[in-house]
Amino acid sequence: MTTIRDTATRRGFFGRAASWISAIAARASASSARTLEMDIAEGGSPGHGPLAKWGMAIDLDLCTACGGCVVACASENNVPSTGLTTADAGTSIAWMGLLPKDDARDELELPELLPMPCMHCEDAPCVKVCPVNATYQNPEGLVVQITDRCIGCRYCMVACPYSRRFFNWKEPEWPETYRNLLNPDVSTRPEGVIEKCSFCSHRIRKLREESRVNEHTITDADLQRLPACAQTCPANAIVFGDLNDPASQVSRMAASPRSSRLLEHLGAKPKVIYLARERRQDG
Amino acid sequence: MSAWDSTGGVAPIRMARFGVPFIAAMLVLAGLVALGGYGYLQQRLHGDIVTGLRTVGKGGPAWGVYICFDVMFVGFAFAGISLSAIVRLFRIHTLWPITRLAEVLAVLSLLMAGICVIADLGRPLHGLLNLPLYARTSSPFFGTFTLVIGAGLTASLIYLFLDERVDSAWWAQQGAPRGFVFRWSALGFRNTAEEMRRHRKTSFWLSLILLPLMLLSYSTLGFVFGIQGGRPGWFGALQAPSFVILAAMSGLGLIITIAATARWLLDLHEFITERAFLWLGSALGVLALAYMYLLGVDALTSRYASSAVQRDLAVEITQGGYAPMFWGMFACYLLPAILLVYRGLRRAPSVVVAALCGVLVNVGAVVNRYLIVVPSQTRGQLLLWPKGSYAPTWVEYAVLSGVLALGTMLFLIYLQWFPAVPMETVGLVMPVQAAKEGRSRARLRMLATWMTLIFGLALAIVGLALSARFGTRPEGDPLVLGSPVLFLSGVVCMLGSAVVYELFPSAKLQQTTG
Repeated sequence: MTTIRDTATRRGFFGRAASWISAIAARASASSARTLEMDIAEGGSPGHGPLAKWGMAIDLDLCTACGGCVVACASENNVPSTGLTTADAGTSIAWMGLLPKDDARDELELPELLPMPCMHCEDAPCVKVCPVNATYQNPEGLVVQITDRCIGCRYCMVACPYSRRFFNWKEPEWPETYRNLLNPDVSTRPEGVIEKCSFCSHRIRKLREESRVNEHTITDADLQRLPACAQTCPANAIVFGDLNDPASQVSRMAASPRSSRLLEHLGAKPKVIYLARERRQDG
Repeated sequence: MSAWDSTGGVAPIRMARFGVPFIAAMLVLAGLVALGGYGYLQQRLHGDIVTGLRTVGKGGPAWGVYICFDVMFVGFAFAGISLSAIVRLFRIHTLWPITRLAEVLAVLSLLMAGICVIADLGRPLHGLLNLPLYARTSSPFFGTFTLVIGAGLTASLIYLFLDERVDSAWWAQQGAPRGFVFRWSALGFRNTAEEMRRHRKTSFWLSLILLPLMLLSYSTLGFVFGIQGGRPGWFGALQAPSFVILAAMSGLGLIITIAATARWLLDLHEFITERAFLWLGSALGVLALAYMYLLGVDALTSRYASSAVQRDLAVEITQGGYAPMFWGMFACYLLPAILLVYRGLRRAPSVVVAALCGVLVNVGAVVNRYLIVVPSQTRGQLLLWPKGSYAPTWVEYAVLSGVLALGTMLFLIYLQWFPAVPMETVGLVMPVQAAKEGRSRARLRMLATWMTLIFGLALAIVGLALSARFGTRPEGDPLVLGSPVLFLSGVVCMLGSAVVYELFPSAKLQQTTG
C-alpha cells in the first residue's frame, strides 16, 4: 500500500509514475481488446474457430460476365442511382463493378469483364490514410466504413489501387418506384461521404442472429452464397466464406493452382481470389 | 493626390494610405470574395457534383485545384517563415527589411490553405469536429492538421506578433496617427534596452526551433502523396524533399514579387535595397536549378519503373497529352534560373527582372502542382478502369478567386495599418535606457518560460502517445478522444513559451533617458 510518506520520497514518486504509466498502457490494450470483443459480439462466432477471415473467390471459368452481381449488389445495398448520361458516369456508384479486359496484360485469362467488389485487403492502403478512422479493418478482416464519421476528404478513394471506393457527389436519389423497395437492413448514405462494398456484413450479422435463436451451427454451405452478388450469380462463380477454415470452399478455391489475386505485387493482400480460366485444347 | 502617400513625416516609412485606389481595390476584392462565397454556397447546396471532380476510376480525379492550391499556399507559408528564420538566425541585414512581408505572407497563406482544405471536404463540419477528436497518426493528414495548420499558423502568428510589438511600441512613442492601434498591439512593450535584448534572444531561439518544425510539417504534405504505393507517379522518397524545394522556390518567388511591389508602391527603395534583390534573386535561381535537377531525376527514374503504368504515365506527362504543360512549366523555371544566376554571378541586380522571374516561377509552380496532383488519378490506373479527365468548373475558379482575393485584401489592410518594414532593421528603433531588471524578476521570468515549455512538451508527448495508442495500434482511434488536440495544444504551448518570456511583466520603469 502506498503511504503518504512514499509519495513524498523520490522513490515513491517514481513508483507511482510507473504504476500510472502501466495503468494507461493496460487501458490501451484493454480498449483494443474491448473493440475486438465488441466486433465479435456484434457478429458472433462464425462457427469455424474463434475468428473468421472473410474472403471471396470468383471462378472466371464459370463467370459469364452477365452483370447480375452488379445489379443484385446495388439493390441489396441501397446504392443510389446517379443518372444515365455520360456526364453522370463520373459520379456513379457500383460497389460491385465489372473491370474491362486488358488484352495486353491477360495473365489471368480474364473474361471480357471481371467482377470486382472491394478487395477487403489485409494491409489496406485506404485504412492507413483515413485521417479520422472512418474506415478500419475489423477483427474478421472486413474493411468497414463508418459513414457518420467520414469527413469526405476522399483520401481513401485516391489511395485505393483497385478504385473500389465511391463518393456521394450529391444527395442520393432513387427512382420513385424504388423508394419503397429500399433494404431496411442497410442504411442509406448522405451526400459528401465515401461508401464501399461491405461483403454484405449485414447478412453475416443476420445469419449469426438467426443461428443463435434457432440454435443452429453455421456451416460453410450457409456462407457460400451469403452476399447478394454470390446469391444472384447464375453460374455459381462467386463463393464467399471463411479463409481461416481450411475445409471451406473458398479456402479450397484459394489453394487452387488457378488462383491469383489482383495487383499482388503491391502487398495489400486482397482477400478476393480469382481463379483463372481453364486452358482448353478445343479453344 | 496619390493614394499611397507618406504618413506625414512621422517616419521615412510609408504606409498605404486610405484613398480612392485603395477603396476601389477593396471593393473589387470584396466582390471576388463574395463570388467565392456564392460558389461555395452552390457546392454546399448541390453537393460536390458542381465541381469538375469525379470518382477515381470513373473518369475523374477526386482531388483537383483545391488541393493544388492548398499545397501551394502551405508552401508560401513554409518559405515565408523559413526565410524570416534564416535571416534572423544568420543576421543577414540586407534581407532583414523583407522579413515582415514574408511573415505576413506566411500567416495569410496558412489561412488561405485552411479555407482550401475546407472547400475540398465533402463534409466540412464533420471535418472540423472529427479531426480534433479522432485524427490518427498513421495518416499524413495528422501532421497536416496538427503541425501545418495548427502549429505552423501559431508559430507564424507568434513570430509576427512579437516582432510587430517592437515596432508598435516605437510608433506609439512617436505619436503616429492611429496611435491606439499601436498602443494596443505593443501590449506593454516599452522599448527598453533590456526588452530589446530579450526580443533578440527570443527571435534567435524561435528561429532555431521553427526551421526544423516547418521542414517537418511541410514534409508531411509531401508524404500525403509520397506514401501512396498504389498510385503511380506519387510513390517515392523524393516526394517530400521535392515538395520542400518547390515550396521554397515558389514561396521565395512570391516574396520577391511582393517585396518589389511594396517597394514601388510604398517608396521603400531606401530600405529594401537592390542588393537584397540580388541575394534573393540568386537564391531563387539556385533553387530553380535544384528543382529542375529533381524533376530530371524523377522523370528519368520513372522511365525505368517496374510498373508499366508508371512508365506510361511518365511518357504521358513529358511526351503525351500533358507535354505542353510540362515543358511550359519547365520553361517557367529555366528562364528565371538562367537570368537570375547570370545576374547573380555578374553582380547585376534588377528588381524588375527578379520580380518578373518570381511571377514566372509561380506560374510554373501552379502548373507543376496540377501535374503532381491530377495525372496520377486520371491516367495512373493500375487496372483498366476508364481514363479520366479534369476541367475545373466555374465554382472551383470562383472559390479560388475568392480565397486569393481574401488573402490580398487582408494583406492590403495590413499594409494600411502597419508598416511593411520592421523599424528595428532600418535602424530606427533606439532603445530607451532603463534600469536593469532585478535578479528575482529575471528568475521568475525564466521559471515561467521553462514551465510553459516543459508543460507544452509533456502535453505534446502525452497527446502524441495517446493518439498513437502507445504504438500498439496506430490505425485505431486515439486512446482518449481529443488527444490530437492535446498534441496540438502541447506544440502551441511550447511555442507560446516565447510569448511568456517576452510578455512576462517587467518591473516598473525606474529611470529613463532620452
